[in-house]
Amino acid sequence: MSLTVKNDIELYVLIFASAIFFVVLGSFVIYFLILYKNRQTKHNEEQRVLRMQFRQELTQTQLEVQEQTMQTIGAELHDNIGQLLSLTSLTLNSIELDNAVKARQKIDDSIDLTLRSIKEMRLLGHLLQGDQLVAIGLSEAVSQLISWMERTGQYELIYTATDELPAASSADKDLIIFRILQEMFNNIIKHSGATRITVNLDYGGGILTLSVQDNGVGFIAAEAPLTGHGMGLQNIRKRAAIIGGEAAISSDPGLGTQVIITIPYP
Amino acid sequence: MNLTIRFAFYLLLLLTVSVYGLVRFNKSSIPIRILAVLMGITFLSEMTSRFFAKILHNSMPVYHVVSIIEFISFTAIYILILKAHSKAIIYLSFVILILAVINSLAIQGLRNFPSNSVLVFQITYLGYSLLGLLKMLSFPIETPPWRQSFFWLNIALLVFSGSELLFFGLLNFSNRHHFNLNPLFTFNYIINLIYYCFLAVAIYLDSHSGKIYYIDEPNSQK
Repeated sequence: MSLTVKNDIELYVLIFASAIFFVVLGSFVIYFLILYKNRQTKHNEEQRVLRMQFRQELTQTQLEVQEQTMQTIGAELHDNIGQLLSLTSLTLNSIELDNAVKARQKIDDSIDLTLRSIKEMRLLGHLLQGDQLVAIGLSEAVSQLISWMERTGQYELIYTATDELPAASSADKDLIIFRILQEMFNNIIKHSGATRITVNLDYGGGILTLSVQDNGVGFIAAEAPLTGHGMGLQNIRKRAAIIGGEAAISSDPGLGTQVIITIPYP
Repeated sequence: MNLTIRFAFYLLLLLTVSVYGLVRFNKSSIPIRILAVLMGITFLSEMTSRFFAKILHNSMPVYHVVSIIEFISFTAIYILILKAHSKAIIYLSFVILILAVINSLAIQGLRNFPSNSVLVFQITYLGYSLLGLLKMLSFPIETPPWRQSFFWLNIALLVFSGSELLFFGLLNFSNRHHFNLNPLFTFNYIINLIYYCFLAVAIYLDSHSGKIYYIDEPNSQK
């Protein structure tokens, strides 16, 4: 083969191979860019849907906290304040004006009952700020909720809280954590028959841990979705997941129940 | 183009990229710092190889050392960026490194070009770049790919590794048929220039548009 023909062949081989190489490479890069754009659009859409779901869940949580607050107010008005005011009314109605000593006694009793009613109303006023309690700090909000549970007189409550909650908190997360705790207490009231509840709020390494343990009847965790426990526990898990956390629920019949929520915080 | 002028231009580009990387050193992420140091080492190795060629008439030992340093550097870069795959990369690269050292000392020897090692290294770099591009697809961010440092790093490795494999294939073909190798070396030269230009873009973007670390930490991007 002559040198010129050989040189031509080698040049054609090189050009052909290089052309194929660069066409394949260029096509690959263009394909990658198109694919990236599509993934980016899909990712943005997923993020938008997640944000919307989070907002919906947050609104739902706010409504539920308000509803819970209203229910508690209604119960307190009926069971407690209503009784006190009824007794006040009866006492005032039974005053005999011609017996000064007894009348004085009954007026004093009425004043005492009125003052107790005022005190209960003030405490109720704190509860009215239920969903705003979270604004004064999660730890304080939890303390208030525990105080209300204690006042029922049916539970011994042991509460320990860390002093080290970060100054910068997340209002959305605080509200959802507060609602999770309310749901846990609702479950205990409705299903557990417990007499002692231990609540622990701990924080460390950017993780908030809320633990609630009771000495109630317990249940078989695997059967929970089939019983009344199911919906409440599912809600707890769902709410914890919405704010990037996890709910670990452990229970055995006769041994009580423990729910541990771990959440990245703030 | 005269070989000496061509080589000087290549050295100038390499020096510019390495100096730029070192100037932006403090503002760059750790992977890009490693890249900048590697560019500097590559520049020094090119100078050293000329010295070896002139004085000892054999510059191949330099390529044995530099190819291993380059492999360790790129492996470190991708271990830092692709944290999810770091264990697999470490195990695989350890095995490859052992084989490369055995190749240098026992199989091809220091006086011959380490083509076996370079071939395996280039295939590994190709794997790294494809893995990197796949990770970009898994974590798409707002910034367009052409403004991301990681994209240019991956494309640089993809282009260079792919073309080196093509180069070796054509080199064997040309040798077997006694073709003139000059066009092939010109092709390789152009690819090297493109490679270092892409790396320069990667270094520039890392210190200006956003650190390269976003890949496994989407929330940490600028």
